Amino acid sequence: MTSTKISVQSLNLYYKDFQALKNVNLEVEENQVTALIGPSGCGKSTFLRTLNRMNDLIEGVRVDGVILLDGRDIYRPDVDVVNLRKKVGMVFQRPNPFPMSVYDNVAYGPRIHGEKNKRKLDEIVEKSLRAAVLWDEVQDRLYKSALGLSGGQQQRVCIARLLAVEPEVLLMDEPTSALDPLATLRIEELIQVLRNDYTIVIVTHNMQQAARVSGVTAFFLNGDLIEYGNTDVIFTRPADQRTEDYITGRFG
Amino acid sequence: MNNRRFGDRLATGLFWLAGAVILGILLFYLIFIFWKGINVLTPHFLLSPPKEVAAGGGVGPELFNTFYILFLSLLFSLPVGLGAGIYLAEYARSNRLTYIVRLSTESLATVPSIVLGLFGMIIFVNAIGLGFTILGGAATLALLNLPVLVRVTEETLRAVPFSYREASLALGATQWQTIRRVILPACFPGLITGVTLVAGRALGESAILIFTAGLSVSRHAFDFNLFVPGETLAVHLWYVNAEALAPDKDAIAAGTSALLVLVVLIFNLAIGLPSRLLQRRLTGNK
Repeated sequence: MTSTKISVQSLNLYYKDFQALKNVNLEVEENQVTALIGPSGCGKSTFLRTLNRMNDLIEGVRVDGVILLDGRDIYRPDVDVVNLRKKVGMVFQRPNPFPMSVYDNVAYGPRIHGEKNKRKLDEIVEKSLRAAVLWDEVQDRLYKSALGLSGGQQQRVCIARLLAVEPEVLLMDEPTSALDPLATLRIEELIQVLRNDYTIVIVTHNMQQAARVSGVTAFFLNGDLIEYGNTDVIFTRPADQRTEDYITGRFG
Repeated sequence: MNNRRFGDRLATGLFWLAGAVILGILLFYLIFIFWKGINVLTPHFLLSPPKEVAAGGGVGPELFNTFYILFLSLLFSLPVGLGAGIYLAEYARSNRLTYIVRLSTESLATVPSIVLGLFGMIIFVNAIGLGFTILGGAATLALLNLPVLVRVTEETLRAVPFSYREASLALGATQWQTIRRVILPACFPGLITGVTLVAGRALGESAILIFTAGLSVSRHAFDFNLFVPGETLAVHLWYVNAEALAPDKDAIAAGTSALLVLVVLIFNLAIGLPSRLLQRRLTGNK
């Protein structure tokens, strides 16, 4: 019943002389939440950023291997990165709404992709904010700066902004690490709702979070993907000693 | 404990004093200049042409030329300056070429204006053979503005958090869309400050224009001809003090100074207020 959305095969990533990812093989299932865990600097964020080619922005990064999105290699030279990122969107560690109104933030994506119709934009903005469970909190301050919102609200603006371009895959890079526990809870609830319609890959430092929100967990260590599988299996009966050590808090 | 408190108070006091000194100097200037010059500023003075030997000359054409040359020099320098600044901040890789471009810009910024003035004279007045013209003056003035504009643009763009770029690109925006719709609006106040700085400097510039735009004015009022000499207020101030024969030259100098200061103040307000309103519209109120 599950089908593969993204298939990563023999992925290596080098930053200048440093190899940050070593022969990673991973299948991301459609409409599933996949959590990437591991200690700081293990390559999980780097890996996440290969999935929409955000590493292209960093000078000195070299990638080899294959990443198939719906069976098509996203690193082929003829791939349009702009279209790829429209399909595979990203939420970042720190909420990064633009210094504009809430409305303009959410309408940003549709606008750059050519939507000009004001009524259509209104619709998209409301729909996206509702999907991000933020509408009730911001509907009477749509035209005020998004920077005036709380951290948790700002992160949901970013999620709404992402949903507005109707991506298929959501990449989340520690989306709650800058938020307080209550805001974290709201985002986690939101992820539970979004999993029905989207394929989600989430990097997290917080193992309870991985256990709470994900169906599949992948454990990275020093650029190696040690193992991945169903979250309850990884957390209760990991195959690798290193996974068990990490999960039980012996290092990391 | 007491020592720390004392140090804190001392620091507060010193910074307060430094602020007060700056304000004091500024006020002293303004009051002094306006006190001497403000009653010279009659409509007649503001509108009529200067007189060489007789009393009663005005600064009408100079006032016009000041704005005309400023406008032209910004017209020449803004596209190139903003463009180069955007290139350096957003497109240039950190390699030798970038380093050389940046070093050249910085060196250009330190060239004394008198050197630029003589350079402009060699090129526009002599080599191209235009003689003293508004065009030559504005073009040379643009050379003075250019490096400052490049620097201000680059630094303002660099101050925009990388996370905005990431967010925009991750939504499938192109680099140009990111620059135009996110980076530049976020930079708007900084860029306006840069333009104001540059314009203030250009309004007061004399050395460059003495040698390129010359010391005389067109006989026609509001002459938009690019190929006539165009003395500006600052140049006129220098000329009146240095060489004028008119018996009321002291009053004319005082009036010109006051007018020049007034022009800079009004120009800053005229740019600052609308840009603040626009900024508020772009960013939404908090």
